[in-house]
Amino acid sequence: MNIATADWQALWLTLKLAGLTTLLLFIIGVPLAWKLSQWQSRWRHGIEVLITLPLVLPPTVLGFYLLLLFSLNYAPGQWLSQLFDGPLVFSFTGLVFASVIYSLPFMVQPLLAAFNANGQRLTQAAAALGIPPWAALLKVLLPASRAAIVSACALTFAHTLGEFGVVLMIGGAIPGETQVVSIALYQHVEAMEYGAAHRLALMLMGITTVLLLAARWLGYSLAPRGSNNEQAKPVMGVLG
Amino acid sequence: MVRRLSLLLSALLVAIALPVNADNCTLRVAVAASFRPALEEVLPEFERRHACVVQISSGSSGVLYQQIAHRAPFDLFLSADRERPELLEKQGGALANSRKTYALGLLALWHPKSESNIEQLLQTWPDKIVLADPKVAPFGSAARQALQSLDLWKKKQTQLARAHNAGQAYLMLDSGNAQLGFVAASQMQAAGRDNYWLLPQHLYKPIEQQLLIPTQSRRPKEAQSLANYLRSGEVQAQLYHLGYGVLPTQDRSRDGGSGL
Repeated sequence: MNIATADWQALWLTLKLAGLTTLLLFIIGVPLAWKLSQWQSRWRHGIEVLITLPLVLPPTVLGFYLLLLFSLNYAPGQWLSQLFDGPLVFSFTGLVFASVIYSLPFMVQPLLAAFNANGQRLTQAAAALGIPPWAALLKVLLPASRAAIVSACALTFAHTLGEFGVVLMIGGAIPGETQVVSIALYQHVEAMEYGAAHRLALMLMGITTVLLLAARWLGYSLAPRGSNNEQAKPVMGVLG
Repeated sequence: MVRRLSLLLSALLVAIALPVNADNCTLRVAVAASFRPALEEVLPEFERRHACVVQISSGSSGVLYQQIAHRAPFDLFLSADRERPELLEKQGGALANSRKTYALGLLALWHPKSESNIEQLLQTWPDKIVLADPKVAPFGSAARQALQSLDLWKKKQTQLARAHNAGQAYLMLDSGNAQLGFVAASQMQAAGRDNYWLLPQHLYKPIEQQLLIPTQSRRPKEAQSLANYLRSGEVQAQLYHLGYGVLPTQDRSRDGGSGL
């Protein structure tokens, strides 16, 4: 079982990308899901549909539009390259940016389900006790949604780990920068290096299986006993 | 309701029972994505002459090779390289003597419009240089050879961005995400662009594109006709205008019409 350095590099890069994406999406996803669950407006459905779009669009198409968004020929791309201190295409930063969009629904949906189930009840109770809304989110609602948070993070991580089409379009397969496992695997298969492809695929499957099992176990052990935490279970069901 | 259903059912039965047109000829062609536009250009004439409908499936040569090696029902395989048809032949997946060169790819360098001295531009270029993946794409390995011939391969290593294939390399440049890169001359011709430098052919090994007839072909005769047609002088002249090279004469069959 000898794995080439480039493949180790790809594995490490992939884990880094998935980890960073999950962290960023958690920071973005929690307030977003919370605001959405609080919001009573016709617009809410529109926003929810918008958030699920990355689920529907084929990843290569998403990658194609990102390519246009990053293009230095147009204003958005120029602005983005100033913001991120360099063009986003062919760069790790660009991959993180793309993954955040690509995995957004996987973070927001489970959180939204949990907040919809318990949000109103808990925030109203907190308000009655004189706790301000943001404190209620941090101190009451989030702890009550532990299981959903774990499954949202696990799903986001796993989804980003297997990301392929988007990276194929905007990455450029640069070792150590944008050559993630899925790309390295594809290159092996295309180059008819089946042995290397099998080894890398096995590694990836081993790592993800362990991670997802750990997340499952964590999710179950965190789920509050005897409460109406049914919403966590179907979501966890996706993982197993 | 019942009457409607029975009507529908009988209509269906009639449709199934209709005799299939005996000389209804459908030819299934698996073609490398990069050659698809050129193929579509020259097919109507073939279809007119042979009363045969050609069904095109395009994809990367690697994937098509896989499918054909696993007995996918194609009558003709047009690869973007020489390597995969050779491999198929070695594995007994091709009809005897059906492997032939049908086109010669030409490597082009897309550069910003205002350039005069291209070689110097390549030497001093500070940004990313796009090329197709040298490991799997014929135009990628040609680009690597050209860079090696110019003694730039090692020097520019960190600047190289690998697109999956020539088509994607073109997209990277066309969308303005890179300003310099290696593409196929046929792509530039097809798009009517002139901001490219045709690399001197001594800098890289010829990009021979070969075809073959898979053993599982159900219409080997018609497939052979299409192969001959593609290698004929008239189609080769068209391909020349579409940005392909001129086939060496010993490569051209004598059964294929006039020479160039």
